[in-house]
Amino acid sequence: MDFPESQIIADCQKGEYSQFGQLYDAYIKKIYSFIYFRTHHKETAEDLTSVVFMKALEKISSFNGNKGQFSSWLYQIARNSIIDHYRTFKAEEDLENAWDVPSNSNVERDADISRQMENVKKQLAELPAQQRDVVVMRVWDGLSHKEIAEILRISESSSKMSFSRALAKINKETVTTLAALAVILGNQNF
Amino acid sequence: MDNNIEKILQELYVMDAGFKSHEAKLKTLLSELLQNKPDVKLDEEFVLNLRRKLLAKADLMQSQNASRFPLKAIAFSLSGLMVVVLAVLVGVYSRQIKTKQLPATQPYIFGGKSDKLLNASVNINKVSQQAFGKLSMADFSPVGRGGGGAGAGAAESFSSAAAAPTMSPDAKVAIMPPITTYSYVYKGGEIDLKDTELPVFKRVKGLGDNFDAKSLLKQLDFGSIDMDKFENTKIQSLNILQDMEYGYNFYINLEDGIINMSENWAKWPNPEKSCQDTQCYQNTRLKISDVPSDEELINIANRFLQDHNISLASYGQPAVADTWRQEYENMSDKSQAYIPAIYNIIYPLQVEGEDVYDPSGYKAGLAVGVDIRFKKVSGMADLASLKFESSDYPVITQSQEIIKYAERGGAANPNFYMQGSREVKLELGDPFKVYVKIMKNDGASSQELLVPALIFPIKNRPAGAAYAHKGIVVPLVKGILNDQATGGGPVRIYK
Repeated sequence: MDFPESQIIADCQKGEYSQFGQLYDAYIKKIYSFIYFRTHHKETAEDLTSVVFMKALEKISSFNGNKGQFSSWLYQIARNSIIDHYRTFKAEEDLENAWDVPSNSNVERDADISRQMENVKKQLAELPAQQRDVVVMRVWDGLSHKEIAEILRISESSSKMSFSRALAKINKETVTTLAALAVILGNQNF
Repeated sequence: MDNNIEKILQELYVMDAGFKSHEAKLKTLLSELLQNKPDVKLDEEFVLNLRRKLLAKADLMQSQNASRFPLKAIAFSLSGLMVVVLAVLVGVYSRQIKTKQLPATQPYIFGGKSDKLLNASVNINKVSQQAFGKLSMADFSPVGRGGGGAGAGAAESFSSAAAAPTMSPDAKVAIMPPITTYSYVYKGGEIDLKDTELPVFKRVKGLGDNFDAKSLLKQLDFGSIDMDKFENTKIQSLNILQDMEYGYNFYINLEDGIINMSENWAKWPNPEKSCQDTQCYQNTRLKISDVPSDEELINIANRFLQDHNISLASYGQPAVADTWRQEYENMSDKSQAYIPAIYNIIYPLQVEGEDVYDPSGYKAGLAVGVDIRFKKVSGMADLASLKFESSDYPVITQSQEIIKYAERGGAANPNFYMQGSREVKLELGDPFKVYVKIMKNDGASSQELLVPALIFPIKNRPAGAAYAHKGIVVPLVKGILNDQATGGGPVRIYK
């Protein structure tokens, strides 16, 4: 971070809210991406991003740096907003099941992402929800295990453990799939 | 990308060295995951809009917070003011301090940290009814707006493309154009007029009571002259030059509370300067294919404003002023058209949720000029202090009366009819409410007012004619249009 984040937050908490613009500049792309990876729909991602930053501005006085990083606090708001969004569409669904939302549901998705998401589903859909969350946060969002732990309210070692188990499981599935594929191809006598 | 994978793998090996034996497969797996990461295309327009909304909200929260702690706010305001003015004055008058120190004060001037010298967000103070005097048609003369071909905020008369159609390509004299007259007919639905009174806003000029220029002047020792011996002196304006390639010239009107910016001409290249013959001038002429898309022009302006911390909290969606293009399209011989080098992007001022327009129906606010030869912002006009007084005025409540005025041509048209002229009937659609910026002259001084009005969009805007209006503006305040001496006739306009 090449700007004095803690000082800017402190200024905002003193009532100099116009400083919030600098926090926005630093996090807009990250938060938008975080939301887009989980909604796959431009307009929805824009709406939720707006909600996140508005909430963050309103609540910045309640942020406590001793309890965690500002980035984790912001991602937590984003995650909660996404969960609320999914609950609006399907009462029984939540963020963890976002990958399984069928194409005929009310949840809109950008057209060009469907094929890509099919590939991802193959890799991630079989994982337990927390492991899937940790993998996406670590690989796509580029978050550290410390940040992931703060966002998910788990310990850092739990985050690491979930990640390694998830990769082990995906790896195993891939090997099994390749083996099955080889058998099928072999039986076709090419 | 590879670094990320490498980092993740190292983390895994620390946890369980057994992963190392699957390194190749893990690498493939992580690469596939990253390849399937959705492409994120963040819309720049969205980013700026949200930033604008957040800063508007931040300003509101800040002012609410300041009103709860008034002493703290006053102290901050005064200290901020002194820092800025002293820094600017020292920068101007003392050669001992280099201009490199000025950027530290920029956020203050341009509405970043304190917004104290120029109110960057709209601040309204209510005053008594009809406090700005009687309003009349004379106040609604069209104001200049950027149409391309000039620096930001320049009037459209600067647009050379406008002059070309009236000249024969090889003639020395102007050809008198034929005359077309326009009449208007309302084709919209019912107009719902609920209000009996609406606010008129007056922009409070200057920098407020806290700006004590006199005491600052006393601190300046010019040596050969004692300014303190001259009574009633004041600092009216400041001129700041940015001494670098593609630098700017800032004109800060302290009395009006407005900052304008143009090129520091000495520091900008001028491709035509060395031309000695017609061929050279022809070679430097821009072609229509050189004109970037509106999106690109807006992006250049947006980036400049963002990079220089210029607050857009009180301005709406930007748009490129397109009168030059209309004039270009009107030309029969487009090879003779002069393609302007500078294009203005207008960020309309917003007051109480409504966009501000000029009397000809064009959006009015902050103008940013982009020079397409260098793909750089070359000027900026009307970055103004946004402190307003609000006074309620009685407004027209009868829709038929409004329609009658609209069909007469509204506020900006001198109703005039010439016998034998060609008559064209234009259709008016459903109106929308706006505030119209006018300059009300009171003898030696003038007031900048925002008057509630309806704009009737023209549904069949004439193609191939230099038609000056985008919509018909009908001010809602009672009495303004009653002043019209003549009524009913169509408007004269040159084809």
